[in-house]
Amino acid sequence: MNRLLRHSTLKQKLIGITMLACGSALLLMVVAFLVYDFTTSRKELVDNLLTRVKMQEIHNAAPLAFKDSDTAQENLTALGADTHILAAVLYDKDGREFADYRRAPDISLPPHLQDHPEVQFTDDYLEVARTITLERDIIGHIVVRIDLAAQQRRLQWLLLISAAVLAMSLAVAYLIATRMHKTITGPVTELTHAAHRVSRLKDYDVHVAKWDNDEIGQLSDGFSDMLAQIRERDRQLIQTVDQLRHEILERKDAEQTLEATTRKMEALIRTSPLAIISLDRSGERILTWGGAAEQIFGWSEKDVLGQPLPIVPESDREQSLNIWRTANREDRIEGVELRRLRKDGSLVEVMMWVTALRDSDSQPIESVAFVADITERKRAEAALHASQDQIRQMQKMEALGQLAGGIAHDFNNLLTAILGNADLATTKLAGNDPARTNLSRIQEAGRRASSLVQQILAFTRQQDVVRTVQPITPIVEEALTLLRATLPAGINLNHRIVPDTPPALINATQIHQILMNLCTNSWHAIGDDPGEITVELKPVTLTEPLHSLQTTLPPGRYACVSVRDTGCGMTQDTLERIFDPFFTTKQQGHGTGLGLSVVHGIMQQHNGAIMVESAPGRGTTFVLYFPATTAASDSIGEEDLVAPPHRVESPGACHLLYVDDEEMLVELVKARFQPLGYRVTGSTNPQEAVEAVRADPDSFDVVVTDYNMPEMSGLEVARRVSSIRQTLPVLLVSGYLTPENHAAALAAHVKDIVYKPTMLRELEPAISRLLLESNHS
Amino acid sequence: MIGCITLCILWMSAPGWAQLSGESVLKAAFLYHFAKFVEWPEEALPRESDPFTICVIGEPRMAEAASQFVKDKQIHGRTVVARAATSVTDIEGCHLLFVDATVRQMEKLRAISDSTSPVLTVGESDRFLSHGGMIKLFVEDGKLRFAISPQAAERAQLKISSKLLALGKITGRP
Repeated sequence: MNRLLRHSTLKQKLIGITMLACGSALLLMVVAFLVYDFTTSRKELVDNLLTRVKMQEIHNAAPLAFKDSDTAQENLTALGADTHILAAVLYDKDGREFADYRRAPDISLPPHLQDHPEVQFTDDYLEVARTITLERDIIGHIVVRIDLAAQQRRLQWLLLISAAVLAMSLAVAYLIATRMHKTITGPVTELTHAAHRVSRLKDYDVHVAKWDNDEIGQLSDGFSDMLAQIRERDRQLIQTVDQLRHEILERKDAEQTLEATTRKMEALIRTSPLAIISLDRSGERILTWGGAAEQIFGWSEKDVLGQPLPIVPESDREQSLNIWRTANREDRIEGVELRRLRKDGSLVEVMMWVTALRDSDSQPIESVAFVADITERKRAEAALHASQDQIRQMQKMEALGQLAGGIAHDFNNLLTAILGNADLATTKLAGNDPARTNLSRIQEAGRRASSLVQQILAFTRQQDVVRTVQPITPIVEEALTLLRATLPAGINLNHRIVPDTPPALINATQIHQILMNLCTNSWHAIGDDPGEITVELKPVTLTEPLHSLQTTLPPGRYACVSVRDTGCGMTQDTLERIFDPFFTTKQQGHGTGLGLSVVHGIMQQHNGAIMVESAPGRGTTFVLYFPATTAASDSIGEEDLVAPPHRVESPGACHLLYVDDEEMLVELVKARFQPLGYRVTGSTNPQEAVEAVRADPDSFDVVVTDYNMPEMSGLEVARRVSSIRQTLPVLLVSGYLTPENHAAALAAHVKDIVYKPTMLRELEPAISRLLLESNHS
Repeated sequence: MIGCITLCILWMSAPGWAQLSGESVLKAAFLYHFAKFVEWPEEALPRESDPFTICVIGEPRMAEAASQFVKDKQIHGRTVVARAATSVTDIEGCHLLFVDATVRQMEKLRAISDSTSPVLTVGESDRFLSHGGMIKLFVEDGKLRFAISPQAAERAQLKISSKLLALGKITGRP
């Protein structure tokens, strides 16, 4: 049924249901009515018959009692007025038939009455049997049978009427249903159409008319309301989608920006030349370990992430904690210089900037430190410091050197004149002349003065020395022997010499002088008390540049001589000035103030360095570094300079031009060389001297010129002479020459340089050598 | 019919009844059934335990037949006793008095009839009703029939059922 309904239209369903409901109701009613009617009519029939039988009982009691069968017969026959009564039989108490009425003679009634039910229905008839009593005595029985034709007819009629009523009712119901179904199906159909349009065309603007106020009307209202809500929701949805799309785009942008920022951050952290280290709020765990952190400290990121900071030396823990706390409190800490640990246990100088990162509540969440390795900078600073000191020292020394050199120049000229004249005078005096003693005193004093000037020149490096590659050990040992003889008994002289100390390019005399000077100073520092001087010689290999006050030594192998005493030591002020010429702490007359100046000059000539460690009461240690040389070929064999003096074969043939602004020296040279057979042309005017050469260039064999002249320098003279006649050798005489001047001199074709004041003695071999060379060439 | 009655008698035959004729039993049955169709006033049967007494004057066999017939039977809820009465004066305690055809003392019957004592009188003589009797038995067409005098019964404060009246011949005043 349901399946049938499922595929029908609403109209069909409606009509079907109406018909079904009406039909069922009517049928039920008809059946109920028929059943009721049937049962009641039966009961009526039975009651009716029973009543009549009871009447018969009453009427027939007396006939039975008094055996009056005629009367009984009459009574029974009265029943025959009802044509439905088929038979009525009266039995006496013994069951014998007493009287009877039979419509048809062949109707037989049950003869035995004892078990006969009072009312008995069969298909065709109803039979009622009763026992007739008089008081309590059974006097007889009566049985009456009636046919059911009337009732059956009545039933047939009823069925017929019911069927007719049913059919008519159904017809009416069908008519009503077909007429009225539109009140329900109409709005529903419209709703359906609307729903179709909504579902197929997505048209939510459909209007649904409301027909009635019933449930369908409410449904229409609900549908319209729902459509309105859908439209509203659609609108909101579109709005929300737009908003979402917008938000998504924004978020994508933000994500891209964030990603770019993150990438940039990561790149920055990765490539940062600074170490970037961040700690959590408590300062106990490492959150970031980037940049140059691994490079600077040695730990890799995976070693330390989440761990406590390993780079803080034990002694600096509290300070480190303070730094992080301060950063959290004050947001920023600018460039603090610290010492931190490396993984290998060494210390590294760093500069650290700390920034606290805060959350939106300004609570510190992370502290980020930027750490720079400033070891190099420190080193450079130290080097700069040293070089600045060096420059200062050099400038000071330069100035002092110029001063001293100037003095020495004049002194040399004077001494040259003094000594030269003294020599000349001596040669002129008779062998027993008492003036000879005076002259020898003059010569002695002159020589001492000359020595002093030489020392000044040594300090100002204006002495040319010959250096050869040789071991230092023998020189040290020789000096020690000499010192032992010199030093008082109270001073214990120790030495420690490492045998395989490498040789160096040195001048033995100067090294000797250095040792003597230093030990003498130590002796003076110790004074009269017992003390100790230790001289040490050992090889040293520098792995890093060594900055001394004067110079910076490159890394390499060095022969190292040190002199350590247990003397009074020096203050910082004194230390800074010890190499100044004429600076002395000794009493007046006890020292020239040139000892350490000379040492300083010598060390510079040797490309070495001096380190001094001293503190008042703690003694002093001088350490001298000489660059080691391994090959003998490294020696500077200035054989030209050390070559033995050559004799002039024929001095008489030699024409010497001597130019000096000092008339005294011109005369001296003339006096000196003319006796030796030289033709000497002297000039105090360089201009004239040059003109003389120009006038007759080939007449001169050698030109000797002073360096320092007011009108024209010796170099200019040399240059002009050379331009006139290139083969004419020029020899330069000077009190001192700076290395620059020296170079310039060689460039100006100066063949040799002779220093005052011992010029007179040295000049002759030099000239001889030059002449020999020019002859060779 | 007779055959049936005969059969019935045979069926009911007992040692005591052997001598009794069918007519006597029929009359006894009639007497018994008359009692059932008649109502006695209350003073006639004051106590429940009092038996209903049938008195028979005349043939002793009749009394015997009646006595046997009513044995173990009840009338108006009372046990029934039948005895022979020697005369109409000997009817103390009787509720029904049967006078057979052998009795001629109708004068005494009048006396009973005139008194208002509630005794149903049944007789066989022709003039029984004119002598104040209430029901008279007679044979007609071989059947035992009866006639009733309602006035006599009325005098004796007895109510005779209409069913009985419908069955019997009514004599006396209309």
